[in-house]
Amino acid sequence: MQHSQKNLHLSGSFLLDIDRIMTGRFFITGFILLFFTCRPQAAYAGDVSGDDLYPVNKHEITFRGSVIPARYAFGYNYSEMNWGNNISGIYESSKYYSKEISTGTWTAAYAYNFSRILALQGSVSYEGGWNKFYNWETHGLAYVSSDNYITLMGTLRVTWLNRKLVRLYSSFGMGAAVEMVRKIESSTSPYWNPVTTNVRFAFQACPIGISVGKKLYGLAEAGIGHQYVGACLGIGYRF
Amino acid sequence: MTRNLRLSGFINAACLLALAICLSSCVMYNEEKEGKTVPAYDTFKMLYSDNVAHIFRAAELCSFFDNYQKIRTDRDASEALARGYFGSFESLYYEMAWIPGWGTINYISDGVYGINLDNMLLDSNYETEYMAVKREDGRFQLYQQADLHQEELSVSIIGKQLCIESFSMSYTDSYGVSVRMSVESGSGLKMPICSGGNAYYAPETGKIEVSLHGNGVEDDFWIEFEKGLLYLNQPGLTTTLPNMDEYGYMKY
Repeated sequence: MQHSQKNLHLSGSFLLDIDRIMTGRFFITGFILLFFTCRPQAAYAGDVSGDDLYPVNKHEITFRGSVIPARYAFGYNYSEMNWGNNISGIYESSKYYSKEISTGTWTAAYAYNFSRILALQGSVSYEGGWNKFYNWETHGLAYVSSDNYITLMGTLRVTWLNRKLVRLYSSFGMGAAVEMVRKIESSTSPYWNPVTTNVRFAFQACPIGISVGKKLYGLAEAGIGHQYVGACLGIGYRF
Repeated sequence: MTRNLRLSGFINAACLLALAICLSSCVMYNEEKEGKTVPAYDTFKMLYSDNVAHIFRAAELCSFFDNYQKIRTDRDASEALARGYFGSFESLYYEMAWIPGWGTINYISDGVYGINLDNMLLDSNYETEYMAVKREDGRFQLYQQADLHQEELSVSIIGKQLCIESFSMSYTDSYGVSVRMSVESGSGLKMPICSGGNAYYAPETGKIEVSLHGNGVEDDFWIEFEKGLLYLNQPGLTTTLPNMDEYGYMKY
């Protein structure tokens, strides 16, 4: 039997799920990064072979996803946590259980390389979540809420290890997250609340990131912020 | 050759994209598997934390300061007494003591003390200031300074045992729920007094009655404590629960 308050078991759920997910994900991630790092790479036309120097591709595009969604960094779901702070909220929330789906955070970015070391990046990210509340007695759907976030960010990136295949870098970005919240109040009413839009400050700090490949490359980053908390993976293309 | 290299590039891209999608895809958080919550228990924990738990800390300050007054001219013995209760102290004067984690107690007159609890865990809506008056039978009557919710509060300290002998409070919260908590005389809440800085959070024995009415909430229940267990009694139903042990045995 579960006795903890709403806010406590929300965080408990998060930890349990993420723990299970991360065990598998990190194992797979490590394996695949090892695969891409160690396998022989084909030489692309235009490469300078036999020399550590390589042509600087001024432009880069990347597409990446968060391994741990930025669910809590973004703050969606926080509104539900307040349920546990008053008596009528405790009794009301005990009637329901929730099933919440997060899309994770997906980011598309363009970067301009000033040199091998310094680059400036612009990105747009999306994260969505749908929280459905079911009645314990009937298991019927009672409430639905959804939150969507679009984040625009400018990022400064410093590459501090340059090799033909492997590059290590750090980055810091700031921008704005546009939050769109919508809630339906009751399963018996077709009325949807209008979308509420909020604009929030957003940042993303990445102390270490690795890219593996030449023109086409894979990337993995560790960091914290509004795009991801923990790690993200992606692909990129330099041209 | 060039075609093969391009093909290799596409395979790389496809692999990496598949990798990113697989590892970063949707996540579901399902509360159903955690089981149904017990709202009376969750509510009681909140009410106990806000309204009852800190009374024991006030009683410990009373017990210490009352004993300290008898030996205050002996500095070594006084400091040993303070450490015996609280492990450490910040200030210890004849007419005032400040124990971090507990609060400040002031001498007003013989057997009359003013208490200002450290409110790290309490916000300004809850009582942190008490006046303690020692009665002829050795028990303490505590009066709250701000007169927020409490109607009656009597505390006794017998040896190493604290007891809230009688307690009642009532208020209506900002959401329209009328709250009443009471400890009937004869069913007092008892816990061991703090020692060396270690303090208990939950009573070991005793009974608290709770009544909640309004804003869709209609519930009457009483909680009985036993060592390590807590019985939630509702009409026709008794539920055995852990005795708030997530707060456990605190060391300040």
